Amino acid sequence: MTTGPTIRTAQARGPGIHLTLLLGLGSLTGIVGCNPTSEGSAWQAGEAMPGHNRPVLVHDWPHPTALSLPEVGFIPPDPTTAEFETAGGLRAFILPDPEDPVVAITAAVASTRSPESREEGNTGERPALVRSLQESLGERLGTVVGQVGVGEEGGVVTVRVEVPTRHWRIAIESVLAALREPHPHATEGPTLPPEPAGGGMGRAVAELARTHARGVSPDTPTGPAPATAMGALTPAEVVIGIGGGVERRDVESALETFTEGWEGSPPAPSMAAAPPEAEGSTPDPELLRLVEHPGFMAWLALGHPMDPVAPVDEAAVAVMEEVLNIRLNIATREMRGLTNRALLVLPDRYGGGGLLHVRSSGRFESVGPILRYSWEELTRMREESGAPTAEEMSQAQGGLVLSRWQGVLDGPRAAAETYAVELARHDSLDRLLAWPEAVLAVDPSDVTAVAAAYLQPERLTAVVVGPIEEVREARHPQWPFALDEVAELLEGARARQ
Amino acid sequence: MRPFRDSSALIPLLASLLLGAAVVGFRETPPPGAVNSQDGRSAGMSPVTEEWEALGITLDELVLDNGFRIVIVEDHRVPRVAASLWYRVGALQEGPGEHGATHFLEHVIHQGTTTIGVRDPELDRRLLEEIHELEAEFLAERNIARNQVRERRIFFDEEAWPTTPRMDSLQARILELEERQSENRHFWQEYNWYREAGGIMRHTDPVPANTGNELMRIEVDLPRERLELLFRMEADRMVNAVLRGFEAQRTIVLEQFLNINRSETGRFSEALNGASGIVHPIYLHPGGHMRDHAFWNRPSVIRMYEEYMVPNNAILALVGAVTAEEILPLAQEYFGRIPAAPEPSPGMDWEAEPPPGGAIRLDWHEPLSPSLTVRYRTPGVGHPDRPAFDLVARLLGGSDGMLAAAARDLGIPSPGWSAGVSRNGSPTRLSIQARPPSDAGLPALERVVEAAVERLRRGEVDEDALTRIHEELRFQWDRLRTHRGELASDLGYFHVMDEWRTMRTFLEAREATTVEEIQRVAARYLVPWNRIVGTTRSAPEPAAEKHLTGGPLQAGPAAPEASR
Repeated sequence: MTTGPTIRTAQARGPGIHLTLLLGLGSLTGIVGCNPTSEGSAWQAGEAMPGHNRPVLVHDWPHPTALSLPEVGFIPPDPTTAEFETAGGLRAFILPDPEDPVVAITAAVASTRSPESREEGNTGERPALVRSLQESLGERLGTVVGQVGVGEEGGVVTVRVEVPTRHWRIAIESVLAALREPHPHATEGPTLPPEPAGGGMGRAVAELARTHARGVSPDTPTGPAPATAMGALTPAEVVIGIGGGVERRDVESALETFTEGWEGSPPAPSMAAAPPEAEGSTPDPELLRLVEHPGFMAWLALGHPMDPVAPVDEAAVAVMEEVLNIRLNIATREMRGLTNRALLVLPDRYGGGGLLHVRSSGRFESVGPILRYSWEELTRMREESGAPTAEEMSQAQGGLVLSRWQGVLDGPRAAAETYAVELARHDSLDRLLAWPEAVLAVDPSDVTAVAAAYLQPERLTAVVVGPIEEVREARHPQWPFALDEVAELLEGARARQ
Repeated sequence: MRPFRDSSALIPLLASLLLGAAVVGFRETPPPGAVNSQDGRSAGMSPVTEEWEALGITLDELVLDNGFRIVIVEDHRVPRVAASLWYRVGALQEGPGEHGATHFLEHVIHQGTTTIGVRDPELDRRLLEEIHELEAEFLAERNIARNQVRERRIFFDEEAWPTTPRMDSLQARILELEERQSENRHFWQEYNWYREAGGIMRHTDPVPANTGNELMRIEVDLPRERLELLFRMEADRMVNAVLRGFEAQRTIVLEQFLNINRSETGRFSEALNGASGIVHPIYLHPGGHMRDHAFWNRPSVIRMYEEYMVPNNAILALVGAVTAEEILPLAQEYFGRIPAAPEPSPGMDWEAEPPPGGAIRLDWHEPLSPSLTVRYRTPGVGHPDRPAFDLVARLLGGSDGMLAAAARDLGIPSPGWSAGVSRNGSPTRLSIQARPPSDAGLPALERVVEAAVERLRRGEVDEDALTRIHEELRFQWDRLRTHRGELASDLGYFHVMDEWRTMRTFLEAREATTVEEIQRVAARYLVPWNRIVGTTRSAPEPAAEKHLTGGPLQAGPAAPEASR
């Protein structure tokens, strides 16, 4: 079989990735050769810090930023040699690892086949395709030992099966059979309404979504679409990644056998993904929404709708997210002990927009200050004076490339899955393979520019879920910022628009 | 291997004591080739290699002169290394009034060192000294106040932290100094350097660590080229951590506690744990309790830091593209420079749990979804009876397990059943859970548990089911041994529970477990006097007022004066 023309990763990318990446990593000098931010100790040999008995260890170790560390030589598994396409058009990545006693199989399908998953307020419900696959696989795999997972993320439905190597054949057969034939019972859907997701935090985000009449709303499920109404998938809609203890030739042959005669039918036009909503907030959403909920603490969300990120902005937005997340946590957690975490959540970048928000929780007296300092950090990010420092840039870029990007390409099993999902999502691996270059090309002014474009303080709404009267009355002894003052802050921003 | 407390297993006990002596001897004796050098570094050391053929892994062990231990499993498929640094310290080492302090210690040792995380070290030193002096005054004042009172109410308000005006003013001054210290700090520096270097960490916060009843672990997965960073920073943290931001961390840890332990089901779970034992600290919550948060103080936290965060109480497990020969110079340069400390006090075994005189029952009186929990105490990892419990739990749980079968046979509608066994070095528990659709279903579910357990005691186990479970467990091991981070973590875990080599004996014993062995442990442990039952109901009778604090008996102010 030949490599499909739609898999454009390719020949030009293979060896080039490595060189580009190494050149790029050379610029991540925060660790290698950056000026130490502090040197030396105030303590002498034999001295102990106050309250300590053990003396300080006075050493001559290089400062961590002055360590002479070699370049990172990571090379992702080559997708070009892993590509395969069956006669029927099913695309695959096969990455054998003879040492691996496990085989991981991931089938990925763009969720245009699962339209209800994109509907507002449907995250509490499994898409029909997910239900169908889950039930079908459970029956087909029977007593085969292994692990099965079906889910949807970033516009792709994925089926993941891991089995001992000796079961690879039945596992692939079961996955493909489940994709070919939707499970008949999956049309029925659940008999009980799903539990609201996420407790107090989930409720805060749901209320934020409701306020802006857009985005996700975990506790307002809509009815599921029947799996059979979707028609059968075509093999060309499926990308499969197989990594681990398999022989490539055996897998190729099995894929041909198991897809023989599989035609399917293309999705009806009505099943295609809905286009992203137009500029979508209500004319004047509330500034502050307060929701009564018993407990020892309160949950809060501060956010606004966010339009889809333009492909050209993706890397800069990712760097902004990294920098802002650290700043938010330093401001609310580390410096002031207001909360255990303040998390910036951006809409799924493949999902057509949604809610940008900070979510957090805290004791009653912490709610006002958390909102205030979060607001300040969101606002500061847009200003030139708030542009990321060289250190912040280097740390964010290192995190995105050496940690996250490497993490999803970490060996044959992970890489096969990542390649399959990426191809199902974008019909190309170009974006994935160019990600390190794109991230390393971002500079502080790019980050400020995307912050100005996507962060909109004048549209922010704050939602607080908790015992509202107690939250209203509580004042933090060091940072006594009240809910009313939060409302004034938000109102001021809106008035300045 | 530490001795276990089991009077009816004398031969294994003696055997384990002998083995324990051998292990202790090994720890204290420098490995072959080790040489003491003048600066405390080891030199010329050779790794000890073990091949676990049946389990498919080969391990190298290095033990420095100061007792610091490194276990290495080479896996060159990806050029990264998972590092898992474990300390044998946890809630079991804490004293009364300072429960949760180890978890707190985990937070405050991630705030930099004498040379990291600070802009002006001299200013930092002056502030630190002033803060300590003020805290000494604060603690003296609090001791005076506390010695004058005794809490006489049954339920007091755990949210009200006793104070006096002088304590308040001292505390305000400490907070002010910490704020000044904050201005002189670089926050999140170590975490950000790891991140920049490509570190993959469990948490997305500056504390890539966990604490439990008998463990504290710090875990980072790095590109192999950046591994020195870990040695540099973790050795520094082991000996030179500066406990900055103490008060901010106190409230951060409190937030974690509130999130997890003060949910309604969290309180039930905590109460069921508390009802499970009389004296053994394993039954205390590792997060401590609400008022403990107020009492954590620098002297007690520093005591734990200096006693337990020492090279001879730690193990570093490394799995990935690295060799023992490459690690040795790093180990000597960094951890090898830290002096050995006196052997830490164990804490783990101080209290022997006396045999209970009967089943324990907790029928929760706050409204919750109906649920049944049945627990049986089980021996800790390192005890020869423990491996069989992994199979017992799997035989019982799931839609095709013995609990579901017993329900079918009794004609009782079966909800989902779950059964699991905790892993600890100390005694722990097998836990069975089910959630009926209504309160009325609870008594029938208890009968189902009794019937299924009785079948186990009689050895009525389906051989095919056991074979399948063995296959599942082998598959799980194969997944684990090919996952750098999981393998490194498990090696460390076995070491704090018992000794890292116990992983092998545990897994081999589990693999060899037969129906007869299952029947033997079931007959011995799954007995009424070893049982703890907990129920929750949506409409309990008599219903308690739904509350989140001290309950309907709560009354009166909580200040110390109130109970003088």
